[in-house]
Amino acid sequence: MTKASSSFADRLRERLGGMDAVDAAGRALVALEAGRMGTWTLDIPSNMVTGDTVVADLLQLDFDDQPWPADQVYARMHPDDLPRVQVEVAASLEHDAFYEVEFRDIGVDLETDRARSRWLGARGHVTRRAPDGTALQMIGVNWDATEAKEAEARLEAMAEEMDHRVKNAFAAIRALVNMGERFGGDRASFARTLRGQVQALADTHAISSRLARGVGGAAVSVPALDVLEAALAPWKEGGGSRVVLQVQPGIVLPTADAATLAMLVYELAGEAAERGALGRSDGALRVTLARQEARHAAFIWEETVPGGVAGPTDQAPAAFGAVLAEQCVAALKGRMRREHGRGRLRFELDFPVAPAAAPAA
Amino acid sequence: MANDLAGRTVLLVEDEFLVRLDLSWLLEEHGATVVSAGDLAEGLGHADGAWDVALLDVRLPDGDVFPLAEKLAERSVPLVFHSGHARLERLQRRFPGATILAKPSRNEVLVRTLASQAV
Repeated sequence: MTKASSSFADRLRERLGGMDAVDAAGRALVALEAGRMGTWTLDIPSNMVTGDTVVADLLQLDFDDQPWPADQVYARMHPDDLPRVQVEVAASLEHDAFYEVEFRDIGVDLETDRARSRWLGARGHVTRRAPDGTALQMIGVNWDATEAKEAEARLEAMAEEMDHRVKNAFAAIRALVNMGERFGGDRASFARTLRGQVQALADTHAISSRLARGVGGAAVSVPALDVLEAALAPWKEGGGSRVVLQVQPGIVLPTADAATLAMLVYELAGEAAERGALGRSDGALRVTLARQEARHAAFIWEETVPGGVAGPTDQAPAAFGAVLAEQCVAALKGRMRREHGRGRLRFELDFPVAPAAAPAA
Repeated sequence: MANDLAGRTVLLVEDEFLVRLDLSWLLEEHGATVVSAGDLAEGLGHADGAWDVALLDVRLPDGDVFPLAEKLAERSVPLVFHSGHARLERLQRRFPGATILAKPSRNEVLVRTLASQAV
């Protein structure tokens, strides 16, 4: 004990040795202000606490009415956190270790009676001991740790969300592979659909992460325009007017529906690149999405190719891509119509969407 | 092996439609009769069914699956959670009798687990 307490005195001498008292106090004050900290002293024999204005403010104690009984200080701490604080204080008195703890305050502004909840950080150390090792005085600091705590919670929530998404993505890829095996078709079209779907997963993920960063949490909805633009981007670049995309503004989908729409559109695009309008320089594609009524939207995919479009009937029945498209439509609780012939392919999907948000007043 | 789940009825709750489809096909291929739901509300609509076993995702778009899991547990329906949920120990505490499978799980593991749980 005595040895340990002299080590604090040693450190004090080491850091401040030879410095006059005013300079030493100046150094301590700069450290406190830089760390936005308040400081307190616990007199152990009397169990009384004194503190500066920052501590008085953080713990809602009357600065002018000092010293404060330790119990009065403890009464300003959240009852669930208090036992932890007391255990830490006792350990620090006994083992001469740094007292270090975070606790919540009582959650009420005592002056206004309004809710005011803060996390406080505390560190302290025994600064005086009797020759027999009995702790006589502890000095410590407090600071507002609310923001740091909130940042920590956000980070934890984000890590959990990411973990969940990654696992879901793996599960989806596994499902796609199993599905491909069931409804195969040839290897090239299996690979094409799989490639498109992995791209759809990646692009939807990129869109929702970008939106999530914007709102500082998990994005719950995605503009349909973002999904369709990403899906058609490879063919719109330098494609002139060959690819036309028209989306009525304000159509926003829940993340799950956005992902499903992406899967459908990437499959249509992959098919069009292989056999339809996107695979030929003379082909044209027109994609529109517009509200039909308040709660319905119509998605229309129309390909024209002068020489004709190879339609889905040319494929083996129930090929992977076709089954996938059908299931996407079912998942969107929509109805689809597919027509093709004479150089034209038209895919129409009618599905429910949330009504347009009322314009901000 | 192919008929491990012959005659069993399975309630499947999973929000990711692709995964839901894949799992229900897988279980059907092994002889099960599968009823699937994509969210909690839909799942709760099946809470009173005569299930041999339930395969449940934890996080659903309209909330965690717990209210449904509790109703099923009360009726002694064996529960198998299939989840990418990070806090598995909490799940285990809440449903001590349940089996927890990481997501994604191998086909054989899923089928074997469901077959061994089904009453």
